[in-house]
Amino acid sequence: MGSKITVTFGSQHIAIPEPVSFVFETENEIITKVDVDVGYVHRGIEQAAVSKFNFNNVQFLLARVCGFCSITHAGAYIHGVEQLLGVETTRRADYLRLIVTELDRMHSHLLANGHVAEVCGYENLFMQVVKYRENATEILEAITGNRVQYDYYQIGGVSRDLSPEHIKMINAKLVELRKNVLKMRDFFETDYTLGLKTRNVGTITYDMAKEYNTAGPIARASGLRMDARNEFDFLPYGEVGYVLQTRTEGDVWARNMVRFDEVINSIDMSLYAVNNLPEGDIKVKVKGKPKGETFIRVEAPRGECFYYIKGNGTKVMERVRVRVPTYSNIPVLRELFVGSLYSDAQPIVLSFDPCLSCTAR
Amino acid sequence: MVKMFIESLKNLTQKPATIGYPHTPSPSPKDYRGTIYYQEDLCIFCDLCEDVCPPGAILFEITNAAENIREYSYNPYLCIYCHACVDVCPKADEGCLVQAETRLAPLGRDSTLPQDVKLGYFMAKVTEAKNLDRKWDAFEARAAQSRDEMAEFKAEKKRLKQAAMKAKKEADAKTKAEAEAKEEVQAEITIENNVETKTETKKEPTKIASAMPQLLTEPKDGKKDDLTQIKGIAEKIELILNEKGIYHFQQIALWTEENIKWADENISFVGRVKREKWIEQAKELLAKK
Ligand code: SF4
Ligand code: SF4
Repeated sequence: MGSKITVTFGSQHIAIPEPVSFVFETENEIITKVDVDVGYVHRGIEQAAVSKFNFNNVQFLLARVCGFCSITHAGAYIHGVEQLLGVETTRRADYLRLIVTELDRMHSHLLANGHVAEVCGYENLFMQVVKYRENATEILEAITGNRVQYDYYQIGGVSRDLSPEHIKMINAKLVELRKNVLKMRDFFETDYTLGLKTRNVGTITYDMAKEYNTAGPIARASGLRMDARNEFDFLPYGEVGYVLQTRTEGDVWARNMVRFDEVINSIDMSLYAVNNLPEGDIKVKVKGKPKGETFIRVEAPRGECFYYIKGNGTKVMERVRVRVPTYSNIPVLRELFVGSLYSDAQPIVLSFDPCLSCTAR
Repeated sequence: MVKMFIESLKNLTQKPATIGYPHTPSPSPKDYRGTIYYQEDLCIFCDLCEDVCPPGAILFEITNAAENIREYSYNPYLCIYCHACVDVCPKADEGCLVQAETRLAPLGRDSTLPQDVKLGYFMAKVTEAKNLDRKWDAFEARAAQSRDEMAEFKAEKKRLKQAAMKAKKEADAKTKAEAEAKEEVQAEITIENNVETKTETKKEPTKIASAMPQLLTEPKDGKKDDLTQIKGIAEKIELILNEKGIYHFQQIALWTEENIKWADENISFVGRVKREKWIEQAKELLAKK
């Protein structure tokens, strides 16, 4: 039968809690054409950052670009401002920043993986993941004072210090989390039914990953060795045992695996950092106003996040440009859909861990 | 698959990981970032918290510009609990601004609002939750207006001060010049003929010192001040002043030494301006206005 049917996926869809619209043209079960619209939640954040807020307040705004990678956005901006102001943070502050950033990555990755299981119809696995993920969010809540918007980075340092009780609690919870994540990874790796839905589905080859300029775990799952954490030393990743994780399969399953591997690595790094915290102040005094321009690349949970900032020596920044990882992953996503089954569309989208609030800002 | 199945069966027999909210209260962790509480008697009104607050949840309304009286207002439903205000407050250690570990219950249409003086004047005045955001908007406009008024008041004060300074300086300069002239005269007397020098010195000051003050063709905003409030100005003199283009206390308050001479010459009541202290009186009346 040659007749084509148009199926819309979004802008509100039960699989993703974010407004994105795909319009699929399908022939039987096979997708033949796809249209994407990502601009549903444009909030004018970039403009607000250069008109309504003073430069020392913009991080609070940028943290609200995204609920999940809030720490990365605020962090990227603050790294940039510190560069322009010529501020050197203390090593203790760097370590604390690293711990919070990695905890953020853990809970984001775990939720992304759980989500894939959920849209494959594996509800109890999703619940299981979310249950274990709670450890990471509880630590974040305890050390930053809030569950989602941490507002932990400040220009010149961080807002709070760790107490010995915190360190004890973090150790206990992270060890438990590590054990549970290993168990989870085993489930995801060996589960037969989940494998049917994820293995060899939505495969991105190495060349494709390179050509379409993918970022983050998606690129690494195809064997592309790219990670901003590996290239820039805003945070002392080299000292705490960072290892770049890659897989070569490039399918939904591999993307899940890369995320689990990274969570394990993040836990190890955080454990090391917590137990080898350098002495010193958590904040240095900052004077002056940013002047000049710079760019920053940091690794958000979803991939590389790019910031361009420009100051003109006044209280308000002249330009704050944000480019988020999901944006660079959309082209390959489009390509992947063509030729795949409609029923696979959901795991494919979710395996990209799309964050559309950031994409539209 | 089998492993997960076993795990799921185990989960069935365990007690749930979730809590029974709202029947069981949600746990409130230590050092949680919650509502901001304020204590007025400790505040030094430095306005740092207002400047730093990202969503503008803290606002000061200036209720009395002359005495610089400000009232703190806080909107807990706008606050993002970022802790920035407590960080900048110089009196935070003493408890001027404190972040509590709990938050207020979210705002519902019929929820009762907390009545706590520590939440600031806005929350103390508002009793109904309905349209709270609109009320806050109105308050925001009011606060902004009060700030404008304050700025105006300050500018006015500065202008008056400058004018007074200028007048004083000129007066000083004049008395000095007169003194010098006198000395010269005395010096000259010894050498020269008395009559000539005396007439010269008498002429000089009147020649320099007469200058027209700022005159208006009609009162500002169409409303003139009641100049008879100044002691010494009767209705008739007010009429003359109005004719010349003087309608406001402010105009008189700004008179310089030269202007006084001009008044002496043109309104023909020599010496009265100074004797009856018009300028000082005008300034006082202006401040009271
Ligand atoms: S916590 Fe943040 S948002 Fe709330 S009043 Fe203080 S500065 Fe404003
Ligand atoms: S920062 Fe503290 S002392 Fe200054 S105005 Fe605000 S509450 Fe008062």
